[in-house]
Amino acid sequence: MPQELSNSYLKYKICVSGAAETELCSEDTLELAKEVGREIVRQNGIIVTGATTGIPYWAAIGAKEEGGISLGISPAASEIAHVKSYKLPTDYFDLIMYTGFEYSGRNLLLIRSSDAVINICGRIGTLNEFTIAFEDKKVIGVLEGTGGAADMIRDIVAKSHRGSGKIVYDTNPKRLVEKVIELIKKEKVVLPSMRVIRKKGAGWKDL
Amino acid sequence: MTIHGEPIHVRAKIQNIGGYSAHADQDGLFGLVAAMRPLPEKVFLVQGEEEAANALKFKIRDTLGVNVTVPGLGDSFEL
Repeated sequence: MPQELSNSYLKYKICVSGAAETELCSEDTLELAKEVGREIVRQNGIIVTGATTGIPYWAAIGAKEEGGISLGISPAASEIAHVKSYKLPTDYFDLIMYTGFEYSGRNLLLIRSSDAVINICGRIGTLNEFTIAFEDKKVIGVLEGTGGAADMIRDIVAKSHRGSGKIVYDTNPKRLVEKVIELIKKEKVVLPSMRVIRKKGAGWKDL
Repeated sequence: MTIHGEPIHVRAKIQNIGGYSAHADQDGLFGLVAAMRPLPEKVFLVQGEEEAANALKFKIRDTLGVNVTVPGLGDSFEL
């Protein structure tokens, strides 16, 4: 019998994808992003971002304020390039992985490293991460009403003739994270712990 | 004009520079906030053209994670 995720050390890895520069976003979007970060932690997740500014940064701040774990996946090859060339932040992350793969390569690793992606506002980079997640059949949450790409996705999906994907939509951070985690739970594969005592005589062996 | 009795042809022109300012530019103002420890909870941008003020507002918010307000005429805030 598979062990419940809630009984293991594994946490839901939820990527927050959104605009690094937020002029196009709705006025309260950054506060909503911060609340998404808090909710990810409250609901047993860790936040994964592109270690960048704007929406992902505010979500990471919310996650750390809630006492959670924040993972950043950088386009830069080193810490010095991350700070000096890309001018990206290093605070509010427990760990930053330096990919050296520029933005497009970073985006792929970012999505592949996550169980799900939450889109908030966003520009082309956010759409890039959305289409990677869609192609990879990842769970996607869209925080509607935040402007930019997030408010286009429903229309893009409808007009792109590839089905509806594993996408949930909401305008409320708490409800959106709940919906995303419900979908993750349906797909999460967890190897039973070696410490779990298994049933005898039903095809299971003692370890 | 004449200098020491010698006629000199004047080639210099007078130019008015309308855009000169002694204030810090965006980078200077951003650097001022970025250097604060701890970072402020909120920044009010109270002087400058609306477009320039908003550009600085977004740069501070996006890069430093600090709330920024550009007050309108007559706005009031409780601190």
